[in-house]
Amino acid sequence: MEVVGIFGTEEEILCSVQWHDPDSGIESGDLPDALSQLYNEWNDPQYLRDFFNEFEKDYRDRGGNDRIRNIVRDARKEGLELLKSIDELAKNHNSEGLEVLFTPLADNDEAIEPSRIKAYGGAYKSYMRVYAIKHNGVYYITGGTIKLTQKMQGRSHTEKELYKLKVMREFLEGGVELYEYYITPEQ
Amino acid sequence: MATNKKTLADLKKDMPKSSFHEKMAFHIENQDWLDKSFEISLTILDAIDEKGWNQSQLAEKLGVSRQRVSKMLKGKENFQLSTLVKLEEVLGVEFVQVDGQNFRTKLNEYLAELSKEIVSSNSVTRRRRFAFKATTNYNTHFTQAPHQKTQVNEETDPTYDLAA
Repeated sequence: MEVVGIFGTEEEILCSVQWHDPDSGIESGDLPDALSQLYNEWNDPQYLRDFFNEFEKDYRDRGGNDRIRNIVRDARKEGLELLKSIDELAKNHNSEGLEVLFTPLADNDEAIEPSRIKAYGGAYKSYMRVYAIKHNGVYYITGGTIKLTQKMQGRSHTEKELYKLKVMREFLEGGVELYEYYITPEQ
Repeated sequence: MATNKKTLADLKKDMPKSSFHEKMAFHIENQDWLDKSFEISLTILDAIDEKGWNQSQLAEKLGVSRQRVSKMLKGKENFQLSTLVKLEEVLGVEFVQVDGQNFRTKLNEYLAELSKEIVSSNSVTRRRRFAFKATTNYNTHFTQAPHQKTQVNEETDPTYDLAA
């Protein structure tokens, strides 16, 4: 994964990272930024249906017992509510609200700057997640996903989000070099 | 590759604007029909799965391109009535309900469900179960004359009118 751009919003407290997978065969210029990508995915019935069909066991293992159709409907609703909250808070320059919405990814992230943070969907036991790096009061949204397992390790979609957080944090720390809008994480 | 090291400040200098706020504003403004569009897409996906079709087969039945079907399944399509009616015909589902139809559809669904329960029930005789197993043996359609009973001939395969 490579960062090919950072998209800002007018408020300057919210930015959204544009990623590119060189192996995808897709031109980097055609890719949406992370927030727009999440809006597209969480509004896409086929994407959500395929996701829950693939990870149905993870859903059942966490105690879920609904039909796929209802799960998809709920995921979309929760995901959009979460994106709406981020949208509203950013538009109103509400840093305090964003601070409440986003919590440290892990306990040891609290004291570290730039810090890895996450936002949950509103419902009890929500599995909708948005991930970001917070640096000097600015929220850099790196992505998001549907997290059905307790740990982020062990599932490719959550591991990918962890990796994106790592790359973005290293970039903001100045530990990675950006060549022509490309970031290569240090090996 | 040029070693032109970019910093966050460089990136922010010419930072493009995200379309996220516009997307959300559009969504909030159009939420009612977008919600329905999403549900329609889900119904289409469920129906083609049930029939064992892929999107190309649906496109062929509808007489449209594969790309057109793909767009319908994105959950953001503002469907035309003619498209919905065609989808209803091809998939055997119902999207458009005009005044009065809703009750009849629900009742017919209930009757079909009831017949399934009868078939699986142990308290019903074999002969009766047999009658409900073959859909040709009964009429699950609600009619305007619900008190009219169908004659049952015990010697041949019995026929039941569930609406009676």
